[in-house]
Amino acid sequence: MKIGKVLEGIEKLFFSDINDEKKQEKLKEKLLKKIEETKIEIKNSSTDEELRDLKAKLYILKKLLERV
Amino acid sequence: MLKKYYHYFFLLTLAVIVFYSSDFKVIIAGIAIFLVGMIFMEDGFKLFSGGVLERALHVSTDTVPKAVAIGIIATSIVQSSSLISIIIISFLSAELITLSGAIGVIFGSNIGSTTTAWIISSLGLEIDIATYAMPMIIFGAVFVFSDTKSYQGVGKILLGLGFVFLGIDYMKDGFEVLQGRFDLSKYALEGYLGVLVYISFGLIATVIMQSSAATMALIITALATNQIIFVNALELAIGANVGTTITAILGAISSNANGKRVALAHFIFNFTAAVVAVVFLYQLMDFTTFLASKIGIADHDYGMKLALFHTVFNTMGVLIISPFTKKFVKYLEMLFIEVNLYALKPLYLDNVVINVPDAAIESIKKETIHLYDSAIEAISHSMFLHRHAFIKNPDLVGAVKNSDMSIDADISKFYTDKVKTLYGEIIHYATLSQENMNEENQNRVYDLKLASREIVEAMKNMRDLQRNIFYYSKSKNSYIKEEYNNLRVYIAKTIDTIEKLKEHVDDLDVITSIELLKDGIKGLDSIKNSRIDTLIRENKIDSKMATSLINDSAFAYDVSQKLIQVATILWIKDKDIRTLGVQK
Repeated sequence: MKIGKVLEGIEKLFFSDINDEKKQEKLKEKLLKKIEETKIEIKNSSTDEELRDLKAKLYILKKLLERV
Repeated sequence: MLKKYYHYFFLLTLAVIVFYSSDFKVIIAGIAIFLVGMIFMEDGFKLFSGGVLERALHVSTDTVPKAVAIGIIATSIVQSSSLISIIIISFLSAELITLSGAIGVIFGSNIGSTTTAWIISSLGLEIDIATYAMPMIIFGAVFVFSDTKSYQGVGKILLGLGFVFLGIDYMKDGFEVLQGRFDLSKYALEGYLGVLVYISFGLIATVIMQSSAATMALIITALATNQIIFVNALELAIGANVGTTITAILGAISSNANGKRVALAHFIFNFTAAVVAVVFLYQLMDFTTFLASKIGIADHDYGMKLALFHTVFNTMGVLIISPFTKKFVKYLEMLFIEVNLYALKPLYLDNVVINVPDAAIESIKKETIHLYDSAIEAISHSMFLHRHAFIKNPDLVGAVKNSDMSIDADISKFYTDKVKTLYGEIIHYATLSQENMNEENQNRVYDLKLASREIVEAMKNMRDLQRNIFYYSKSKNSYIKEEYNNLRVYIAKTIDTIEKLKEHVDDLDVITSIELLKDGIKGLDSIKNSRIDTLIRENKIDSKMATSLINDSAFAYDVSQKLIQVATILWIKDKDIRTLGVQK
């Protein structure tokens, strides 16, 4: 039990930053992909209401990207 | 049925005794006057204390020794252990004190109630207390007619004390006259037959009179006039101590689980103390005599010695039982479980999977969704809306504004009867499951607990809002009516958006919906405030309406924010995406 905790501590100490960084990168990629998809959806939108909603969505996605 | 016949039989016996024996009539009249005095004193303390007693009991019961001490002090002052029991049971039901605190107070109350014997034996017998009784009754009656409650309280206490003293004097006179006619002490019994007979007498007398203080007064006056011998007086006192708990148990039969727990705790405590006192009766009697000589009680002053015995054996009971309070509490909680037929039962909290982190987390999440769905039902009803009428309705605004305001929903009652138990079960299960989890899983469970709390808090905020929504829906002022309708729309939109986002597969779609919703309610709130300003400036709403609206806008904003927070925790699966939305 104690050994497990020590190993967990070592892992956190040496690898957590790398893991966190990787996760953040992955999240950024996901968001960028979503932004691109939304831009395409905006181009293809047929109604004003849909266009307004998609633009709002794009704005939020960009804001989320800033938070990452 | 039996109770009715028992009552008639008792009245008939009493009538026969009073009619045929003038000596017993005086003693019985003394008991009756004493009991009336006790009732007046109890009422007087209720009026006079002005909540001080309740506050003291509330803040001083966090540890058993403190609870015992406050039980002793409170009962010594008010001279009524039943009044203390009633307050304790009501506090327990309102969850203002713990069961161990309540039991502590009951322990202390037993010791405190022995002060009655001290007062009677020290004041009642040595001096002519009837001379003090009269002025007390006169001034008590004058104060009772005062306009001020605390003066009325003082009046009732004085009246009570006056009647108690007068009652004792009557009992004493009755026994003195009786002494000349015949000698009850020839029926004195020693040994274990005496124990059995006199304990039973003490018990029955207390059950009939519903007051151990009256029994003690009777015993002390009988002892002072040598109508009973000392050892039999001790046995009667032990019987009275058990008898007083029978009264409490009879009263608790129709009470809730808390009432039953306190009554049984009282009975077990007094019964155990009585058993120990009977087993070591002669040793305790010797110890009392020894202690009496040390504290300066005269050898022939049996009244004081009885009071000392009463205190010694009740204190002994506390010392024996209080170390087992924790086990005692567990046993009582298991024995009487509050059954709420309407309470929502957990559907997913399975104890088999509590040690398997992933399964436990899934169970807690599903149960929290169950809690959320029930809360949404209650919140919708509290806004006089049916969920099917506005959720996924393209004309949500119209559906809200044209809704029938006749739904009979009390969100407070809904919370107490249905949701509270489920919330408690989730928190209990979640806390136990966290023991076997790593930090990451523990954090997830923490978030789910947070979500449960936010759901309950949202319901509580709606409680305040519901009253005004209904009140202003009937208003002739169309502006305030419109504003309250907007608040309903605002919460309904939040619920509707959350219902829709449940269908998204991609977490990024969920979080964008949530963030848009957050932005929406922020905008709405600031618009609301400036609109309120305009309405006030243009004299369209009065100041009372304005304050209600400002407060209720804040409540509505809070409800929406809490629901959004819950949605973020429950419906975003990816931890990293969720972290972008959760505000710790």
